[in-house]
Amino acid sequence: MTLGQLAFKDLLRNPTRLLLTVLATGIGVLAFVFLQTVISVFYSGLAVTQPDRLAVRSKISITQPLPLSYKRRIESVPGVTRITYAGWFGGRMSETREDFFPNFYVDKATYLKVYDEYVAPADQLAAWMADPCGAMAGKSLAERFDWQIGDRVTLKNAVYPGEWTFTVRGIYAGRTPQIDTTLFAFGYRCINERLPEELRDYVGIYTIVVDDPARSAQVAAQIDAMFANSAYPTRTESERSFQMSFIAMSSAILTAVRIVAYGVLLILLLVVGNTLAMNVREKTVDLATLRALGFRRRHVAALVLVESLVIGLAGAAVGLLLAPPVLSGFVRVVSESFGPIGTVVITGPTYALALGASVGVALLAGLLPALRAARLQVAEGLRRIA
Amino acid sequence: MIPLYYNVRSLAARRLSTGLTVLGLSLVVFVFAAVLMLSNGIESALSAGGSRQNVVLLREGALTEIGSVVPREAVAVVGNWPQVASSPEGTALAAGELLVIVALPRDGDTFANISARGVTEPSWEARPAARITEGRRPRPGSFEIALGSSLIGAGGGAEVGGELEFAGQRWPVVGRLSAGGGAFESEIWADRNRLGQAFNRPGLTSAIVRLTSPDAFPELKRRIEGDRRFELKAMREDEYWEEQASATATFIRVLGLFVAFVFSIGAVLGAMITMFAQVSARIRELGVMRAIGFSRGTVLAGVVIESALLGAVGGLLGSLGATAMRFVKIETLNFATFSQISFGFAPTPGILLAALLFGLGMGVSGGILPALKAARLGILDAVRA
Repeated sequence: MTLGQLAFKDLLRNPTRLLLTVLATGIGVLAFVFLQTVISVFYSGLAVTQPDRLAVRSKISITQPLPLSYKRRIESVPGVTRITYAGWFGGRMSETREDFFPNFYVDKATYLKVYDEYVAPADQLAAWMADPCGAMAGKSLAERFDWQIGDRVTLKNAVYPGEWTFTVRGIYAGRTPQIDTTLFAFGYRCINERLPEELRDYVGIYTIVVDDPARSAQVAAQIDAMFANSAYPTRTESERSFQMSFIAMSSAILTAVRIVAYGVLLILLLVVGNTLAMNVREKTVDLATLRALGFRRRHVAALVLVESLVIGLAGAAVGLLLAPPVLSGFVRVVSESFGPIGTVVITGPTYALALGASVGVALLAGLLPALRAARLQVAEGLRRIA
Repeated sequence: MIPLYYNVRSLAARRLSTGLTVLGLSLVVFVFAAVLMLSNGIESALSAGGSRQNVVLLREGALTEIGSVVPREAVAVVGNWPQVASSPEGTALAAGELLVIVALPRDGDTFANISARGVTEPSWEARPAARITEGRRPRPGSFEIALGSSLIGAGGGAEVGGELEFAGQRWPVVGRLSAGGGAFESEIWADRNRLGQAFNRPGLTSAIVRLTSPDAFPELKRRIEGDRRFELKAMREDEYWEEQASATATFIRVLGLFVAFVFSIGAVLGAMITMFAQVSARIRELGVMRAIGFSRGTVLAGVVIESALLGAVGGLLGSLGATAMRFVKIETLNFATFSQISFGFAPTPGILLAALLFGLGMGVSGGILPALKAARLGILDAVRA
């Protein structure tokens, strides 16, 4: 019998306990994956940022608009190759939170030239461009409300008074799975023409593309200096730090989620450690016998560590298999009762992290019992009645 | 009945296993209780500012003050209605307000989105809960501001006697605003006209109206919502703030309870492992008990009680730990209003009771299977083992 076979037999000496431990580990891994995915949803905006894109918004606050006339002036800054603008419309189909979705006005002619991660079929794109009040809906948004091309969507809005009807002209997808496909975008012209005088010709935010990302700080400074003394001063920063500023506001919640995720690992450590300690205690006589037969300390320790490794791997397998269905169930329940949440995908790094954490925790939990097994005095071990 | 002392002794005999299991259970209870306290903290922080006697007027269809526009004429009209209370001097307690969001720098490169409320004299009179606890009220028509108490000390002149700079203006801080832990404590209060000037916003976003009595609300609501000149809606102030809190609080509660639920399965399994080990280590002992006349039911109950004991201790430790969190203050973005709110963990007797029961429940459910195993033992097999 090889050492491996011996370890295997040893594992099966208490099948109930093994099963329970693996299940508990699996559930811990599941919770860990879940929490990591929640964190990555917060950060998903970062995954799609590009180093050559800068955001120009009002320095006063994100809810303050910028004049449409800034477009020409920003465009003229050396280094700026493309520019587009967009703004939060905030319309609702009804007053309930459940059927809320993010909706924006954009500059149709330039928007997709800057944000090339959104893709739509060429004919739909042309139809969207041609209709001033045509809207482009994300794939998952269209699925949620079962919208087809040509459907009409009416939104109410408190800031821009009245009812606004848009026709779905296109359905876009993302270039990668992380791209948000829950958005609804229509042309600025459609609403601008109907706005009261004092609201007309103001937009939310400009996005520019610079020719050389290394020079973006210089370009940003130049833009901000241009408007510093106007009634609408700007703050220009890279798309990444723009997104980060939103994440930073939720940082307390994110920290709490992180702490809980590590709490999960701590519980895993306790459960696996408990099992292994019990196993070693119950096997004291066997281990002492092995030592008496001439096995070295390191063999005995390896026996325990192999056991913990198997528990860690099996637990990770259970948890990672359970994670996708549980997560999608959770997303479904939450979006039914509480409105939609962004696109949720478990990323490769999360899987790898969970696998590593599970195995690492299991090995860590095996460390003390393994040491105890290795330090065992042969004579005393043989004498002991477990 | 097997005496409880026996259970305690047998748990104490395996200190390490018992300790690890109790620790695991208490961590789960900790998360459970902390989550409930946190979402309760958000809700009470936001709703504490609202009075049942006050009414918030918003444009029909708006969910927050930020996304609302209220015409000035409407405030003047409502001010003449008999449902509206007056100040001792005789002015109607109906005030149009302007809520804007200010990006204030906070340690280094980051900044926080803070709500700035443009107020007039009746705004203060209508909200007795909003008091100045240090310094004085800003003078009407000046650029002076009162700073919510949870913003005080955030750096960059955020203290009474200091000065903030935003929207191209300098704003001297002359008072510290307290509101019984309510949302106003995370706000800046400034003169409405000055704030409107600085933000190029001549209009109003909302209006606050103090009623002669809370019962006058239905009548005022009917009148304002029936008036076709203005498309307005009326909400009680306390309900308005509760609704502002609900998205963030629900997010934390749903996420936290789901995690606590998943956790609890893990912890129940942990308790089960320990109790199975307890049972198999004591097979002979249990056999003897059966032999001297203890019934299957008593043995079953004994094991379950032992496991419940684990759960109870875990529950106690976990809720104690969570209660200690009340000294931690948390600041986060409120998804509904897009501005910072600050809140803490708010324990209630109900939450603590729920946490204890939760721990107990986990202990009991972890003990049932091992207890069944113990109760099914044949006397002879057990004694011979």
